[in-house]
Amino acid sequence: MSTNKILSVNNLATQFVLPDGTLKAVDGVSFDVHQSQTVGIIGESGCGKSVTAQSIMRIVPKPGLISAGSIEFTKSGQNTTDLVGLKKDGKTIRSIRGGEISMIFQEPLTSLSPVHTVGDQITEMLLLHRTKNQSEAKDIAIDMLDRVGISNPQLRFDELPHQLSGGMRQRAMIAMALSCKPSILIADEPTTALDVTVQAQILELLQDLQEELGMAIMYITHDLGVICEIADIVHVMYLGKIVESASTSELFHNPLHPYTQRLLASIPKLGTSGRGTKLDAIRGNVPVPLNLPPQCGFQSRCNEIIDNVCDVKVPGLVDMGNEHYVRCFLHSEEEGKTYA
Amino acid sequence: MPENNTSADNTNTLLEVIHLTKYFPIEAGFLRKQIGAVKAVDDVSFYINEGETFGLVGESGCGKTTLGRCIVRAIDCTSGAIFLKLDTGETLDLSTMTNKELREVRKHFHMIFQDPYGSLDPRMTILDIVGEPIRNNNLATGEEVIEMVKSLLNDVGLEIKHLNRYPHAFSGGQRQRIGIARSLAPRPSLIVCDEPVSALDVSIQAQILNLLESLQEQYNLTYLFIAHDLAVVEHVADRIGVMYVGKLVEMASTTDLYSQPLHPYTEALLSAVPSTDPDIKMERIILPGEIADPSAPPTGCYFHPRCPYAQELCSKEKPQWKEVAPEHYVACHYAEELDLKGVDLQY
Repeated sequence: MSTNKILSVNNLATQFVLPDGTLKAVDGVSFDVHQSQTVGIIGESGCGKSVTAQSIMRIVPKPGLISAGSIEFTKSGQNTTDLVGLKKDGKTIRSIRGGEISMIFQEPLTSLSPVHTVGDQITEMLLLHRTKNQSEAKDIAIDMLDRVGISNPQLRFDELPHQLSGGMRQRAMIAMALSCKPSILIADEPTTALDVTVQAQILELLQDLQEELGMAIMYITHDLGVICEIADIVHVMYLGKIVESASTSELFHNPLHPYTQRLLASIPKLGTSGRGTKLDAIRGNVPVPLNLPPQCGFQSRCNEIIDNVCDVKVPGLVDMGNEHYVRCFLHSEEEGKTYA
Repeated sequence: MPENNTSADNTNTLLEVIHLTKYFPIEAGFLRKQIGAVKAVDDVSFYINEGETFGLVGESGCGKTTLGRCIVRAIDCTSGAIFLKLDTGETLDLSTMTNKELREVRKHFHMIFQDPYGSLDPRMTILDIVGEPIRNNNLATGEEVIEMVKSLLNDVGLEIKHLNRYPHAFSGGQRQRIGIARSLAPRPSLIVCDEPVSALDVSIQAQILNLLESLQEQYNLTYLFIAHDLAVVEHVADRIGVMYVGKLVEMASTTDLYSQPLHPYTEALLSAVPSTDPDIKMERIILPGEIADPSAPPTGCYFHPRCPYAQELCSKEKPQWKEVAPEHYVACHYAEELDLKGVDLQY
């Protein structure tokens, strides 16, 4: 694994100022992305995983805003830029967005334009970032469609998104995202809407393309199985915070945070949880991160809560050795903080 | 119960579906002339025993939801029969009943839907939503309805004080509980669960699966469990049917189907499930292409264009639905010859 750090997120805090209070969607998240690495971010809906991605792309919807932290992006052999300091619609971020950092989404039908052909949408990106030559752009686009496994790319080039099946649309979106050879691909639940056999195709495709093009992938999902297959390093998010980080095999073999442990215990696993076995469900629901007092986010659902500790203080993210970080008072008394 | 080659020949069969088909016509032109048909469900036969959970798996577009909707008569089937045994011992053929006749028996079967946001009326309170089937079936009146709703809410793990709230005030998992309470209200014997947990968060899925399981015991329910997640189905089902382009391709007990799949499609489905053990790198079978178009299915075996074991015969002749091992049915020409890989069961 190369140690070239291309993205470094430090204490990122993104909040939404709402009439009822301030919703801390991302509350002090830090992680690095290295070249050719796959970083997995796992969490349930509302944990802030998608807002983290949107913050990096600087496409946080209103009234959201990045209130603290930095996102340092280093293009190979060039200076480091802090993406937080850039103007949201400025020239620099626009050249990075799509050109250097690309994103693919869960539902390709809603993120592709329904009135432009697949080919037009890919060439538009290429003309913006890579070339000014129309016919060269078309050649690259057809080559990309071919590479992502779309049969008859010449024909598909002139088709509209609705004429493609779900799996094909996701392939077209991957072709578009990778056509400008980005150094980072952010994949936000790209296979959640797909069937298992198509999901297997897309995961294999992403891994093949990563080997070929050498980009880093930031893979966001709620599916523990998918993350186990694809990621090198995993960050578990809960209520806007990273609660545990480790390499994939370390995390799945030796989960330390009660949330990770319970999450792993609560999902049915193929071949191990047959009929009649009871699943170890996590009680309650994810709270809404609105005006929460300083406490561990998981305390309301945790079975190992320490009274007068977990409910009054925020735990800090502590290194347990072996690059394994956990945010829990069961493992360390160190306090963390919330970011405003 | 009528004679049929897929019947278990025992008396505790609750539901038996025989040669069920559902074709949706494709119409074109000014006169809406029929130019073809989408064979959503194509000659499907199976049975479910009392107190059992029958899992129905397959990819989107394979017809599993259409099959479920045919069984509860949300839509009319094209041909075939649906026999349901009532608690009185009487057996009815739901497929031939008129809407008026159905009104009397609808209380015996119910459906739980995938989308907990779209399946509850936003303008009705929880009391009305859960109480409606009680009132409509004349099971209780006045104060009794409220008492019944309260006990149902208690059984599905909701707080009774929320009786007068509207659906928007609840989370996805709680809404699914409301849907379950509503379907339990008329005391049905059969519940068709159409992807009941796939729209829920991971940590909530387990809650609902556990709830469905404990209710099955408490209310003596029989489930038809439609899902695409093979790990979930393994956890809930006693027996499983695998569907592909409107047809059942394999049916067996859960343990047989998972440990010794006989159809190449089942093998591929099992191998595509991502594992949560980083040490196990299952050899994935990546199927080429996508599920066939049910309005223009391939010749012969519908699966042959994607099948890694396909031979010449597969593109020419439709495979027969046959019992290869006891209670293990499969539709594949080479089911006996292929040595397919299943899952190592650790229980």
